[in-house]
Amino acid sequence: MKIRQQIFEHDRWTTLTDDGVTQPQLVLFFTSAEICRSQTPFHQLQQQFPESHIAGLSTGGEILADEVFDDTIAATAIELEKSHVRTAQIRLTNNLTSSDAGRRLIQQLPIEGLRLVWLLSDGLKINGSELIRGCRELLPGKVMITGGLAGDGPDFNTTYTGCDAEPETEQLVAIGFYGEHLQISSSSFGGWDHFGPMRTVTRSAGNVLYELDGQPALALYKHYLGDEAENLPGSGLLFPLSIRPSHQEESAVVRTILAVDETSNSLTFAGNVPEGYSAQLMRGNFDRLIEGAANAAEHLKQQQGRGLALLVSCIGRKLLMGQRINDEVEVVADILGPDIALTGFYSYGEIAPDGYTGQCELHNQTMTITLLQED
Amino acid sequence: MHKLLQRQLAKAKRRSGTDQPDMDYLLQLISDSYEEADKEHRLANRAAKLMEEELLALHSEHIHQARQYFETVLSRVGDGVLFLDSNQRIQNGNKQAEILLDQPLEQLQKLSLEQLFADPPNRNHHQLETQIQHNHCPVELLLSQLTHEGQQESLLIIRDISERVAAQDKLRQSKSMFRDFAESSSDWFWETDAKHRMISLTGFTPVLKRINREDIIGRSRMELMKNAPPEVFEQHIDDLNAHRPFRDLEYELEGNSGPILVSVSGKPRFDAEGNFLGYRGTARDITELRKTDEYLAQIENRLRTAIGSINEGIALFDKDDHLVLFNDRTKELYPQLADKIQLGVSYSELAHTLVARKALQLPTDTDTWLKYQISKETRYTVRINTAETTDGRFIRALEYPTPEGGTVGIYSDVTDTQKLQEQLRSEKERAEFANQAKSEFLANMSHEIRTPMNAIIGLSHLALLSTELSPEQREYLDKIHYSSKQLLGILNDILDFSKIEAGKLAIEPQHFELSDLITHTNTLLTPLLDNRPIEHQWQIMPDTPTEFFGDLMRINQILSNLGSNAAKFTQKGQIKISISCRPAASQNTEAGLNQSTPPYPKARAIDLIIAVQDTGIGISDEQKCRLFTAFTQADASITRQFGGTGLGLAISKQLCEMMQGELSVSSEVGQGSCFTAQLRLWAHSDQTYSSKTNANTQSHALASQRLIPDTALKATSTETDNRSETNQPVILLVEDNSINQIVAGRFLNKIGIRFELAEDGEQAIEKIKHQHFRLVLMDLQMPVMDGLTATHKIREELGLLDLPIIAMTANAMEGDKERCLEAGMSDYLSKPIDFTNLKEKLERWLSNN
Repeated sequence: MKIRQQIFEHDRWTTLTDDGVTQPQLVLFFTSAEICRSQTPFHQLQQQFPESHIAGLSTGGEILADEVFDDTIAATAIELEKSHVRTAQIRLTNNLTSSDAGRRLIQQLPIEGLRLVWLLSDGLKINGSELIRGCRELLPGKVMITGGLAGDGPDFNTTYTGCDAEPETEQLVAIGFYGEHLQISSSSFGGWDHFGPMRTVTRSAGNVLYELDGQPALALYKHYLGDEAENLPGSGLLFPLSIRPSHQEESAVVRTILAVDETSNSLTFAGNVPEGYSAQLMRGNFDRLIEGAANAAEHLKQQQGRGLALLVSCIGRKLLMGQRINDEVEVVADILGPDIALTGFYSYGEIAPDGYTGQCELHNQTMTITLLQED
Repeated sequence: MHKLLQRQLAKAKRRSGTDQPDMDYLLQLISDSYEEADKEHRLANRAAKLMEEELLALHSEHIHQARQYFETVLSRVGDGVLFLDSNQRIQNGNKQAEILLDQPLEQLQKLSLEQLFADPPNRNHHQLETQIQHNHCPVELLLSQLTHEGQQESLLIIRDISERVAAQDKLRQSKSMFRDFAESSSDWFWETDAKHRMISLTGFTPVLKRINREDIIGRSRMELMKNAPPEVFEQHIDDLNAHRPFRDLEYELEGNSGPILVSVSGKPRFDAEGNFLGYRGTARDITELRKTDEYLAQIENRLRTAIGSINEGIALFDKDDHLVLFNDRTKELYPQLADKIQLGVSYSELAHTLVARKALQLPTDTDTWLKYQISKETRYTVRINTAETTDGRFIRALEYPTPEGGTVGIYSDVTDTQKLQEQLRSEKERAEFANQAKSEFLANMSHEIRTPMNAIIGLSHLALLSTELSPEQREYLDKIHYSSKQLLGILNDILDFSKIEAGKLAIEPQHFELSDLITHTNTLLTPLLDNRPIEHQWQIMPDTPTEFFGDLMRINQILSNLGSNAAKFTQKGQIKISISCRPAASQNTEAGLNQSTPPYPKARAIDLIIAVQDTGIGISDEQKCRLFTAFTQADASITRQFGGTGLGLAISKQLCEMMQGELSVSSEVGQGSCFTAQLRLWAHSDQTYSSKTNANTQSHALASQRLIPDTALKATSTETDNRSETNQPVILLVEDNSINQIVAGRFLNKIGIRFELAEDGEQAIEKIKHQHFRLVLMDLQMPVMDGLTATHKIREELGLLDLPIIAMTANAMEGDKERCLEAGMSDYLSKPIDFTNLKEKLERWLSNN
């Protein structure tokens, strides 16, 4: 595996590392929504890598090497020696449910030799949980699904994805990794602290939450956010919600707010918030979040030799930590060592297998790492 | 340099594209990081604060809820719970604690555990059973330590264990009862083996330790029974060999100090295969029991002997009325029932037998008697408890209830007592009879004395009328006359008193006028005043009726007595006689008079009040008490000083009372006395004394002051003389006694009334047939024909119904007058003839014609 990493910053490309990549099968790029709209990241890269699949999306921040960037194009060219990739994409339409979209996406990928599906999903027009459900219906259990939802910084307005074309909104992209020499592992950790009382979801519909303990959920969030309430829904990420079926503490997942509706006093989350679930507010502490990232890195099954770590971390973490967000990337880089190249993005939702169940889930507020190596 | 600053510097360098960082960008980055830190800080603080608030609220809600749960639980648990502070003072508690300790919490908070519990708990003694001080309710206390906010507090649980204690008590009692029973009854349980050797004794605690366990264990029944009589021993061995159960086998064991009598019962025991294992049973030391029985028998014997030896019959009936105890004396007293008097016979049967065999002369009819005797309700209330037996004895039966509901009867022969009582009663009757006889004798005696007295008084009176007497002769005759009249007064008093005592004096009402009374009194009183400076006054109250219906003779007697007493005890001053009248007190109006219906249509009941007031020696209070008692005068010395029998006032008082009135006295020693007689009479007319004879009264009063007997007689005889000259002869005198013929004849001559004499009833009738008389004076006791027969003939045969016939009799006793009137006589005079009286009657009857 050979890897070349370059960044477009301050209107110029800078190459950070290059293993002597000549024929990369895949070029991944992460950029801002604004760049997607105003510049032509695909075009720039296609000129450089005309033979390669070029896929990317808009983010809340780009990760490249051991740094976090904003408003850049962070690109990584991957030249697999013993494996290959296939891509698929589908546009979201009104009469297509998230799960249907997932199924249709997967249908485009041959199952034979498929090891990993890395999903690049629209960040706002999708129910991540349903998307994953649809995907998993068609994929054998051993095929790993990871990836993330596109982002729009703290704005939650428009997200873009694209594959072999300029990124567009309301689109899903899947990259299938094939080959038996591929060594894949993934891990996901949050590091958020639960706080406040345990509440019960008393009214919800899918991923829209109306009431907690019989009180409007939005009011609760506003109460906690104080001055930050005006920055909703982005500031809602400062206080993610941990949900779980009652009395099943181990299967808790974290939900991030995608949107608020003042008229119905509701919150829209990136995943389902079923009624009757127990819910508890969470808050971040810098050290604990960094520790969570370190945990994720340590849980990877790393081999000797070159490899690529795809980091999908939550926009909420970045919004909270500000410039200190770099620390979590640094800690991952330190753990994985110089052989492993890092890239990734700050997402509106992380897709990774659940640490306990092994099943792929939509996560929020986590650092999710997928490590790719060839033996 | 801080890692973040390094990164910011690197970023700024990258921005400038040189080694020199873009300073503006760098500062922006640094500023942003400060902002971010502030924001993070702000958010964290806010979250922490809110969370704390929220958690606090939640916490307090939980606390509240927990508290409610807690209080609910506390109020529902059956135990009392108290919370104590570190000083063991009560802080709080549940309702049950208040109920158990019977005080509200506020009160409990003021009390210490020592005041609440007999044995208060403490740290070292945290679980115990004790009692609540004030009601002794047994409780279990459990003190446990609580640590609350660093304070050492404690929790006291109070559990009412009265039921448990009661149950334990009961168990203990029943155990101890069993033990007591085993010990006190001296019963024990024993077991023998197949060879009849004693192998076990349970509850073996002979009362006085007269025998040791070791003396019994291991020994065979045969050994133990060696002192038993041979027949008992052999019978028992037979029983044992045949494995028969036995009961109440009695034999003596050898004890530490003498034999012990035991009673033993036993049953054979067998194993499952039916093999004989030995005996098992109970035994009891009956030595004391036997002694007690003997002692009781001895006591009963003594009692029986004692009862048997007393002179009264004793019978004891149990509550079912069956005879349970009696002595032989009872049988002796009721020989007719001897065969029936046996233990177990019922009271009822004895009573019926008593009646059937006519053993007693019952005081009432048999049914009533039986009913009364047999019922326990009435049995003890029998009042006549002495009955005569048919064989002439008297038996007194006293029956009482016993505490057990039975009856004890004590029967005694009271024949002697009864006879003594009979004797006493007849003695008394005889004495009473004798007394009456004496009274009659006296009455007769006085009659016998009256006849000669009559002669003496009459003849001396006539002699005094003669003018041919020397002064000396006149003085002798005067004294004879005075003395004989005094003697007659005494006789009359004795006679009256005897009559009253003998119950033979009757009130004889007749029509009279008030002037009759006044005239009679004046006639009597005036000569008694002699020449003492005494003013004699009458005061007749207005509205006093003039005519009455009453016993004039007795009223005269009373007034004469009071008047002569006044004259007797007054030396100077005044004697005032007041007469007044008021309507009779209504309630006794009719009953008070001898005649319940008025004798005349217009008659009305009145109380005539006669007061005799003098200025004499008076009567002390002490003397007043005895004043009206017979044979007593105010002063024992008075009799000698003033003379008199002392009967006058007693008689007057009796007479007043017989006329439904009273005689009372008020007096002051030295000042005088006032005797007031109140008499119930019928007033005859509405005419009053003042309205009819106002003038007369005045003249009467004036005249009476200096009236003397001879002038009165002279005045009257003068009137009569005038009349007798024109109408002769007027009167037929029938008298057999020659002296009386002279006395009466002379008197009639003196007052100028001509008369014819007949010596007996036959002569009288003959004379009346041939000659007209205006009046007949008839003696009663005469030879040939007595006065009554003669009168009868005059009325029946001669048909002279209107001819006045006045009886003259010495028979002064009650009944004479009735006989006379029944025989048809018109009026009645008693001998010796009182001339005043005779003159009055003659005037009345002659004027009526």
